[in-house]
Amino acid sequence: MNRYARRCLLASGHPLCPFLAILTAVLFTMATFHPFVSCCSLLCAVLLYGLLSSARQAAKRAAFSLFAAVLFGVLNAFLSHRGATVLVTLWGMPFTLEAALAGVCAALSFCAAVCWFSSFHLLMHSDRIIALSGGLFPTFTLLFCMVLRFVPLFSRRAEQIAQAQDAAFGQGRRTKPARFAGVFSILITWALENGIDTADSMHARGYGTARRTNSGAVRLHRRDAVFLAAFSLCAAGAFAVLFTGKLSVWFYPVFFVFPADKTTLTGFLCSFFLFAAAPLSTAWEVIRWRFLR
Amino acid sequence: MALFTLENVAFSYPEASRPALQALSLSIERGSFNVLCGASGSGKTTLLRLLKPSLTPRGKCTGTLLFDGKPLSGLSLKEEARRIGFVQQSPDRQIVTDKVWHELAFGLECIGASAETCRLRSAELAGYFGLSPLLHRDTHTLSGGQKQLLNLASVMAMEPDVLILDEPTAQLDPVAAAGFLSVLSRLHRDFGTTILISEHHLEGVVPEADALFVLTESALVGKSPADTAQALFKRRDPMFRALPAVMQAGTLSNANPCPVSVAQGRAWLAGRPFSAPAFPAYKKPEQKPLLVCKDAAFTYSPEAPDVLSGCSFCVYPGERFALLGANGSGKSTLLSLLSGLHTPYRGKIAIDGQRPGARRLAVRTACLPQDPQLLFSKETVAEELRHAAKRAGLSKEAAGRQIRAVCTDCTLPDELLSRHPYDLSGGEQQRAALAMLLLSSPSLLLLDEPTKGLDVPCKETLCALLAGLSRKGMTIVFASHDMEFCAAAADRCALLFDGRFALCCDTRSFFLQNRFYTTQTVHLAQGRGGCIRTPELLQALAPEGGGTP
Repeated sequence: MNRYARRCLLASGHPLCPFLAILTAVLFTMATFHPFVSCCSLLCAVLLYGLLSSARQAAKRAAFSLFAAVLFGVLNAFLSHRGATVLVTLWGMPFTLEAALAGVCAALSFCAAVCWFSSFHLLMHSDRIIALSGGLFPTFTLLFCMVLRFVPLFSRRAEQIAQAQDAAFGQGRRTKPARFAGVFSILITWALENGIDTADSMHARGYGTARRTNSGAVRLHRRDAVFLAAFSLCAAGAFAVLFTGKLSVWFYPVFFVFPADKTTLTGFLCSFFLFAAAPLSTAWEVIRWRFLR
Repeated sequence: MALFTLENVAFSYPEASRPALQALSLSIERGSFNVLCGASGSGKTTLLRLLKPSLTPRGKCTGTLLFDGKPLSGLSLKEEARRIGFVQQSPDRQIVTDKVWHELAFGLECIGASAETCRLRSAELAGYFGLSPLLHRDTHTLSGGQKQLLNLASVMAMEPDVLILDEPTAQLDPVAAAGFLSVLSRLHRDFGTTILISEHHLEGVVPEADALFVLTESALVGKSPADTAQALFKRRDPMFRALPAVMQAGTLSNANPCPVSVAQGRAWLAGRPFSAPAFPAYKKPEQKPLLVCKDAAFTYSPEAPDVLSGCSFCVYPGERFALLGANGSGKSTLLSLLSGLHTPYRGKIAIDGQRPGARRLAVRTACLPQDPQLLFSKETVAEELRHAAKRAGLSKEAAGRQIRAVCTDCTLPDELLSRHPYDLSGGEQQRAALAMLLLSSPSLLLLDEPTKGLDVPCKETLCALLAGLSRKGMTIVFASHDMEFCAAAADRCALLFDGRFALCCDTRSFFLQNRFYTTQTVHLAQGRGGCIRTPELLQALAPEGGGTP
């Protein structure tokens, strides 16, 4: 992660903030393909990703999103012929503007969601996920921890097994699938035996004698509470307007969105702040550490 | 009052022909440091697990087991988890979580301690054990010694009354083992924790021990270390040879008080008569060397420093060659180069003139890994041997004959052949793996840390096995930390340091030239009489046939 972004609210505060902010943003993006919503979501997602990693990475994502938009627009025009405005007729099939527009909006939403998830991956590492879920789902959290531990262990062990077999018996005439099957079988046996010792170690320390507590729990500070409160307000407004239907969009047969009135403008404002909350709070910290030190 | 009291305790596993433990009586005093030793298979682990109810195996247990004056079976699981701490042998297998801080707090989380208590205990223990810089690291990136310390810290976080350790240093290199044992001594001295540790490397624990228990075929002998040594000597018990060299020498000569450490031993030995026989001088072999390594250099990746830089040596046919060196000095890497797994980026390695790992290599090479379990893939040892024979290209009748021959060589009795490889003890697994390798009749045998986790009788068996193979013309190269074993088993030794050999010569000169990296006998006798092995020292002290068991 970008070193200036390490101390921003999303990266260092309560893990509930990035969890809620990003997941709500993704949900809202997928809920409607309104061009304003898609563009806003994509812009804010790329901005957040750029603040957390680097401007170059963000530029790469933006370029890829534009390319995807063009590609999906053309593809959708190719596959769907339902619109009213015909741009060109090739091979007896009409290529319509509405179909292209539908493809573009879908692509923008999809790329926005991917960008949000990339930021999520940067912000939420294993410790923070455990801090979140440990209180509510202690067994699941422990399983998650153990999986994280076993994956690098097993891959290293598989490599050791393959090397030991080669050094002891020589490469021989065995085919690759046969060798892989052999290594896999030894790995599974070892893993099961390993598991018995790990289970013994857990029993020896009292696993199962009482409900597990969560020692990694993080306290909710004032700045987390302020962020969550402001964000919840925006999210509530945006979803309310969404449920009234004023943010819906129709592509076929004619492109139609509701004209701008008080409800839709409120919806636009709330959705803008819903998407912009995360990058704005991060931008503030980055500016602070980068320029004002 | 005694913390643990066992009276006439006997235990037998279900469907076992003979009991695992017979009529044991034992008493562990509060605040004492107790050491338990015995040959593998003698029931040490069974005894230690009987003292920890959540780990007690299924079976029939008779006799009285008291913890703090009350029956052990009456202890609730939660209380038992908190009051009796247990550290197992393998550093890797005991760790549950993926981060160090989480592992420290795991035990406390399980018994339902509050988050503040978890944090406080973790803070205290991280400071005491020196784990603070490692707190946010992934557990799989720690070294073996650090992992075992983490396991100890995780158990100590629950403030146990007694700490039971089952061969905790078996899988560690000597430096990590010494570090672990010194932390344990510090725990005992600073907090008065009652400790019961089962250990093969007695040199590290006996100086600190209040009582030394030895589990033999028939009984449990347990008193202060010097008294136990006397009792073992009088009974001519093979476990007497497992004691540190200084204690064996002291007991043999009826020293009073019996020295337990090298410092005490040197002072005691200074004035004693010493007559060592003249040892035969080393004769350099006349044949051409089988293995020649010239200026070999190797690195795992361009960014990493060189593991080996300009390593040169040669091994003669029929010779036993030992590679010694600290952890990370490149012994395993050199063995992997010799087996053909990797190629040096500079320099040359030739086995009988050909590159190792070449398809039509005239000299068969076989490498036994540190962990013999890496080779087992079948349900029984007999199947493993048949499979290995098939891979070696033997016909059915030849396979049958060869298998019988290697089983005799490696002392694998018939009853072991029908068992699952994972059910064998460490020494038996190693001999089974070695038997599998010998089926292909290799001319060059490479062994990586063959004595890891083995007790003294097993090491002696292995030493005799290697001597037998060497007499039949097999060339053996092995890498080991164990200096006593190398002194007994090798013809020539080499010390690997900083990518090259610091010393490479015959065994006797090797150990007599070294001041620090040498056997306990040399530390004690300081080179007098040219003794490097414990039997030689004992012979020199009592030449009139007052032999050891």
